[in-house]
Amino acid sequence: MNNSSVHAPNSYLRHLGSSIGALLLNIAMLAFSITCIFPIVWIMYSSLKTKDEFMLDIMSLPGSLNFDNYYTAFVEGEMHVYFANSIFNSVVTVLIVIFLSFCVGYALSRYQFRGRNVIYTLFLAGMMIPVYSLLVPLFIQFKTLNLTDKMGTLILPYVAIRLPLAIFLFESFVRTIPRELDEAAYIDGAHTFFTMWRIIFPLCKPVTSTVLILAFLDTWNEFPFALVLITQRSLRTLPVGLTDFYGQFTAEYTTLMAALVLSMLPVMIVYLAFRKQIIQGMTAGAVKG
Amino acid sequence: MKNKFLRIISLCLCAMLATAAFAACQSQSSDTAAPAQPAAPAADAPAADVPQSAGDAMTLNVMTLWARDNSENIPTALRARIAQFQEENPHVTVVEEGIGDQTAYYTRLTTLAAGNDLPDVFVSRGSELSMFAQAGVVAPLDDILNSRPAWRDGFVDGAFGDLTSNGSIYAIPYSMLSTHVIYYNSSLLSEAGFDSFPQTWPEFMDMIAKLNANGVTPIALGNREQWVANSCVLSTLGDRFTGSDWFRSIISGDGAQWTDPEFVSALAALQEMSNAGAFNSDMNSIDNDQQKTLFYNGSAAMFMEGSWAIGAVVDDAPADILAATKVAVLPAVNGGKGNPRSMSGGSGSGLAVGIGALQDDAKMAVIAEFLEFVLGEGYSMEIAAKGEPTAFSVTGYDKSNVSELAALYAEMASSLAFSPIYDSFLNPAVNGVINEGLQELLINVITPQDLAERIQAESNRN
Repeated sequence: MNNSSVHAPNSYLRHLGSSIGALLLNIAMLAFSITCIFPIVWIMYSSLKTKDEFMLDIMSLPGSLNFDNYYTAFVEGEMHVYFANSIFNSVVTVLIVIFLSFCVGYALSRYQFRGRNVIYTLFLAGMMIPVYSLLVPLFIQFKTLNLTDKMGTLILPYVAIRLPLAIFLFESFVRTIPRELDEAAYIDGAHTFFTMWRIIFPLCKPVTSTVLILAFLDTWNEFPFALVLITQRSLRTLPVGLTDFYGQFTAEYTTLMAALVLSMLPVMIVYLAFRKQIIQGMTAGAVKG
Repeated sequence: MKNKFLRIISLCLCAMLATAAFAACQSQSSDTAAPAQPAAPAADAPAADVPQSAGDAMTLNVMTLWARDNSENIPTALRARIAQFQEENPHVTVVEEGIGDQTAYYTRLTTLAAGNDLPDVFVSRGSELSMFAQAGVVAPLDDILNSRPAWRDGFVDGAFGDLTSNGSIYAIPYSMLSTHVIYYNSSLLSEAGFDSFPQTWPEFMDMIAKLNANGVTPIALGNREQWVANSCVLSTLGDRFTGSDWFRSIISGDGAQWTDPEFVSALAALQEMSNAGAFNSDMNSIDNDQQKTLFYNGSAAMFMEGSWAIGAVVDDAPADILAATKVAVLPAVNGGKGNPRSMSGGSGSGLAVGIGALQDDAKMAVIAEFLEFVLGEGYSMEIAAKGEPTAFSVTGYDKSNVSELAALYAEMASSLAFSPIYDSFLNPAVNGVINEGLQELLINVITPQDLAERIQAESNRN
């Protein structure tokens, strides 16, 4: 009895201590998330302000909701053209990247052949090249081959740059799937193509969403190649198109905000749709790789 | 067997990619072959006749630093002239590519230069031009100018200064801008007891103290992007102390040192201003748009920026602030060697021509015609009527639409001389050291002497 009466306040204190700790931790995390979320919220409500309102006080809430900025950005600023180009580039790139990297990743993890390690290392080495160092050589190459300024110009470099990481993720993920599954399928009469796409690929859902989100994000935001390889306005992508809202010395902030909101939306939608799988895919691949 | 299957698939994919690439090449090659035919030798023919020798269609690629719906005066007027040129010369197709963001624009321009694929005509500032001239990717324009003496002589003194490299002119300026104008709120100044802008340094410092006592930020400074303190403040303040000859000597490398006492006193004066509370305390975390915000909402009495800010103030400032806004330049300093009636300025940028055009005489003739048409008297009249300072001197333009502020500026500018803009002459590394150093100087973590030594060290290295 004596024992327990001593014990009780102790555990009570410990409980209190840990809940205070949890509270502090939560407050810290909350403050941290606010610093991440606030800029987005700020962009959203600033896009509804008039230019004068914005210039006089950059923090205040809009006096009335006005959607003129959106009209200016989307219709007069021809954002819809850039939007369509970005969607085209991103979707095609993502599809090709998923297709190619799954094929390569599957082959590299399931087959041992001469040169396998060389191929794998070459792909991984691609991850280490900084994009900016490729800018000038690639531009000269594209110019000589007459590949600049076409509908599909950007797809080629985009796919090439996204592939290494995607192959790495697929390779390490496929390796965690028991080989017995392939063998069982083989015994049941499935050919390689069927095993790959009907049996293994559906199991790769987490890593597919990771690759999808990463490739989509990177392609959607890509700036230097889109800037250098494309000249025609009608082929420009969003990030380059957004520079239309900058002046030489001034910026049309409110219109820019509206344009930014529009350009953020697809990314947020894709992220929210696949967010559960992204972390799972990353860890599942990486830890056991 | 599985291996074979994979091999076939990968072969197929490679083949597909290869055909796609080839198909793209084929479709393009037809339209690039066109400009190969040598046109009539037009080099010594009077330029005005050239457009008449029409027939062979020509494309003129023009790259500009302005977003498509940029409403600033210069791009608007320039584009109107380009459109008119297009109309009068139907055989020439002018294709304009505009990129609004400066950093992006110069990234693209330097990449194009590396591939020796600069457009026929493009906007460029002096510091890039001298680099391009060294690499031999831009065409010197002396011949074009010398064959049109009336046009050449119409430009104001020093208009080509920033655009000359090794004695050759590489671009034609489209404006003459000042990087240092003090925009001040005259009603806040008179509340502090100053009915006109101070003409001496002690009076100026006294005004700063009185404005502070009134609870007003004397000068709004947004130096986050670092060029404001250098370009808009130090270029003029330094010149007040050292005189322009000192800076020319720095550039040509004959004698002057950054550690000379005159320049150190200029840095000391800037630090003294900062210590006296002349600037808002968050000067290193806001930008030049936000410094105007402080001025617009009446919490700051002054801000220093170039003549380009006139349009922004006229458009964005509330009516009462706009009505009270006047312009001035820094007063004379005690013992200064510089001309106190000067402000840092110049043409800064201009239209340059890619070297590729030189191989085609007909094209060069059209480009010459284009440059004179676009940047000649008509254009200058137009922007002068909007209150912009011009590089080509014009008189008798329509003054009715000039805003009051622009008229005030024009009146002041006509009585002032131009002194060099530091950052348009210095190499990027030295500029970087000055820019960073000024941020530190303003918050008192470095002494003027130490900063001067640091700049000199970087300068020696180059």
